[in-house]
Amino acid sequence: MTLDVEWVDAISASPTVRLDMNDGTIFGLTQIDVSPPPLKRSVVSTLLSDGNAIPSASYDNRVLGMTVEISTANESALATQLQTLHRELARPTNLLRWVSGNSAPVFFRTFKATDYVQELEIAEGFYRARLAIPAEPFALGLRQNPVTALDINNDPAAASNGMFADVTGVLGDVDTPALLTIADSAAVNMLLTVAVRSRGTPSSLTRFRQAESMTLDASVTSVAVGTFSGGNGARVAFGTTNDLTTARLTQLDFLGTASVEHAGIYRLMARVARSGGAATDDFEVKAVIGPVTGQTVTVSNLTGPQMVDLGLFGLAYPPVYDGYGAQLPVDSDVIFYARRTSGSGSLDVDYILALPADTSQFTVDFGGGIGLDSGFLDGPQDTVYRKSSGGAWITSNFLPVGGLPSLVPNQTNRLYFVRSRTTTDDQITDDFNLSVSYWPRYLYVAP
Amino acid sequence: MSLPVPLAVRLTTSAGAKTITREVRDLSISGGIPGGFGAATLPLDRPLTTTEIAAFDRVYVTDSRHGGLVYSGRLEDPGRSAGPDGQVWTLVASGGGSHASDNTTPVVYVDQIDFGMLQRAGSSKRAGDAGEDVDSATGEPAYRIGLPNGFTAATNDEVSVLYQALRETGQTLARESHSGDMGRTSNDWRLRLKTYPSGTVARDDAFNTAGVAASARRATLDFPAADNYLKFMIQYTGGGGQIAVDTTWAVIKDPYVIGSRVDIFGVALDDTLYNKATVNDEDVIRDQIGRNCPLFDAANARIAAGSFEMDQCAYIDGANPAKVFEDMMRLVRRYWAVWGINPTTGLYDFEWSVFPSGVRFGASTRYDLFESPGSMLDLYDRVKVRYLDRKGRVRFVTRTQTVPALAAAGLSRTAPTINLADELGSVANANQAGDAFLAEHAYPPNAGTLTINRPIFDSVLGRNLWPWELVRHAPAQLIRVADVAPRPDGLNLTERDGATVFRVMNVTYSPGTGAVLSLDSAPRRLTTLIAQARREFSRARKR
Repeated sequence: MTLDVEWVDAISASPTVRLDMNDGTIFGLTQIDVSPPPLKRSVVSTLLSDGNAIPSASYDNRVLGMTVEISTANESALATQLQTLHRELARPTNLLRWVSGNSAPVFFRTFKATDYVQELEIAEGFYRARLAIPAEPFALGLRQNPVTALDINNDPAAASNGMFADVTGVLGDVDTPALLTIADSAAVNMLLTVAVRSRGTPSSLTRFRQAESMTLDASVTSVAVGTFSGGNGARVAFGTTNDLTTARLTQLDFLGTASVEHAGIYRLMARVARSGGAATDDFEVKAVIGPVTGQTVTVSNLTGPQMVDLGLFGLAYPPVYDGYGAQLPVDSDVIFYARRTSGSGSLDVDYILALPADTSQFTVDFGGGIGLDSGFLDGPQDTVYRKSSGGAWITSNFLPVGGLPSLVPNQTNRLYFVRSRTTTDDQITDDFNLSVSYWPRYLYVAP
Repeated sequence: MSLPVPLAVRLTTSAGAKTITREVRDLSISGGIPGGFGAATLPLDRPLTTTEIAAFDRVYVTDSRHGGLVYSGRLEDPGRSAGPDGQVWTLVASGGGSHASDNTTPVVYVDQIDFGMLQRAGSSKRAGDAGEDVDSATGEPAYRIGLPNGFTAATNDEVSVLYQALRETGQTLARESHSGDMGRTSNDWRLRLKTYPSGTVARDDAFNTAGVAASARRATLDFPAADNYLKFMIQYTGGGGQIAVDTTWAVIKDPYVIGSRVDIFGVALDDTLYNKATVNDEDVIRDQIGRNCPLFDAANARIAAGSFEMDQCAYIDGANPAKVFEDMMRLVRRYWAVWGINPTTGLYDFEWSVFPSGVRFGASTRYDLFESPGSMLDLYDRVKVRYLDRKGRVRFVTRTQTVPALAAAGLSRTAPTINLADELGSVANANQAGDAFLAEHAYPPNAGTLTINRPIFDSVLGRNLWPWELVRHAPAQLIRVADVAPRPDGLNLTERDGATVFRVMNVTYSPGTGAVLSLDSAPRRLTTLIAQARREFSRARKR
């Protein structure tokens, strides 16, 4: 079995090799330990119930153990080779590439490890070092780019990629943070929310419902609105009933026929606009999904379309099981309420959207727009920054909320996007360009 | 997949926003009532030479799953250490409630005029007599102004005293009322109220042995809105002559003033709104937000409707909003809290809310660590409330209630005296404070803790909340702990019962420990006890 273990300068297909730890001439590995990283667990136990609960767990750093033998002609040559080794071990952080046979290369991100056990057989000129190299928990594979320059439509009913993108064929053993590149040449301000569903069959979730296709109360009519998805919406009039108890819009099985796929936490959002009245008109809206009633949300200063956050709703999450049996399917009937608290306008509803909010949801305001630059939602670095079209870093001065998405291997990962304008009306024509990259993470090595 | 705690920690610094989730060694956040978000501690591994971190930088902790705010606050002066653990910053943040102590200002909402504060006016005749007296009908303190037998009075001679507290607080006079008795009946002798600086005669009553009833005078209607001090006076309007009787006097009874207020945005209230002789807790809270809390989000603040009408509420020595809020909590079943910062406006979310009734959360001793030292020492069926009246005399009222546990044991316990001093000193306030105190001490407080390391159902939000989410959502709420001294009526409780249902006062969360809920009483920290002692000491001072 061939084994390449090399200190390199970058995670790439052809990095510069600074030191080969198993070149078969000077450096030779005789023993290696790349056991998977240990798990840190929070364990809760009481004498009042059997067993222990583990509410949280995370991987600890791993320790790469290896015994390397250095064979040289004389002591001077040995000192030279040891210096080369020590210089690599002394780096605060380093990259150790591992390629076994025909497997894909993986890279361990290591930390300083100059404390090792040495054996020197003087007579033989033979030097053995037992290294214990701390490293980040996971071995990283080469960068993968499953999505490149995909046009994400800001209309959920678009024929393709309507406010979502699927990432499939993710490599690795465990979930890995994604690097999202956002490009938008329109140079308009962008408030971007990104959510992810990485379990089950995300495509089985109905993401949105056109308001005019829901069951309409007598106070609601289907109207043509050019700035709406599909060119239509549902207009709520308040002349006869003006309360938060009249079910304006109703949709049974909003997410689809009752299914175990629907268990989860969702953030409902509605795209609304005002018709008639004045910009000073105020409205209040509320949604119910299943047995859960949301908070009353005030919508004010409404002119053109804008997204309204109706709040978080939990549907049997954590999942409910039939004893030790099967998970129970979940209904998702949605009712939308609205009333006008001042003015004389009507409320037009374009669509209602359900964003998964039980894995990760992230919102960032890119402010004045990206323009020809690119916005980077960098999961590996857990930061957001902006780069020029020439690749230079511009700024990281964004204050996001929430967590950046990770991608789960052997699973379709559906990324959901809600793109709004912070200071002007939302436009369903506000498309943007998306690229998705990631580095596979392995507990051991790549196949 | 592992199950790391899905929290993201970010700072806004002079160098921009920074995500420090992976750099903090640990995380401890807290929230409770009163006050809202409390202290947070974040040990951070960074070189001590870094200039990125400074006091008053904001810290945000959000839930990565849905972006919800878990905690926000401002950094205090960060601690630094270098030792075996390396170079470590100890970041300590405090929640927005600390800004309620930023500004101390004197303010008069409603003042039953302390006679000791009345000053002789320069125009007052020296031969005149002005001083404390007694209402002959009620025995309550009153104030007498008069001239002696034998005094030769000229036209417009006066004996007068000034009330100038509002000049010191920067307010204007909004409303005044008093009643009066006179020793004689005469059209030449007048009991008058004049307001200044305009010099307007706001009220003019001829001497009449039948006396005069209370009659309110209001800004704009009866005197200019800019007037901020007043004069009580008796004045001779006749042609002149020697007084030949001993009855040339007037007694002013039950005078009160109401100072001008602002709305929650700091805008002066319209004078037509001063249409009552009292102010309530909502009035006071809104004024404090508008007057002294520029960092609180006034537009979206949640203020419960007024519950108790006060006839005395004046902080002439000055008070900060935290003290005022606390005083309001002594009178009404409300609490105040300051929660998250709006990243766009930089303003804090504020609430003054009714203690919720109805159990919101459920826990179980089977899965959650429950500790209840228990104590009957906080049960009381009597309490005395001390206050200072208009004359500065110490007065007491005694309030009682029936406590089933004490009655069954044949015991009676009197609580330590509550001191309202002069700021809230009135009979009505004393009765209210006493009753509120006893209501809180009818059932033994738990004074214990509940540690939760799993999601529990929130009946208001309709979903399970994880332990870190309890920091924001659990304080002030009722939680039922199953498997603890069950009672038949335990399912229908709307208030804590000291056995099954408890009120969450404080939540502290750290990833390694989980959420520790303090039940029925705030954690007894030394800093809290010292602060309470200071407040009690300051109340004992008289004007």
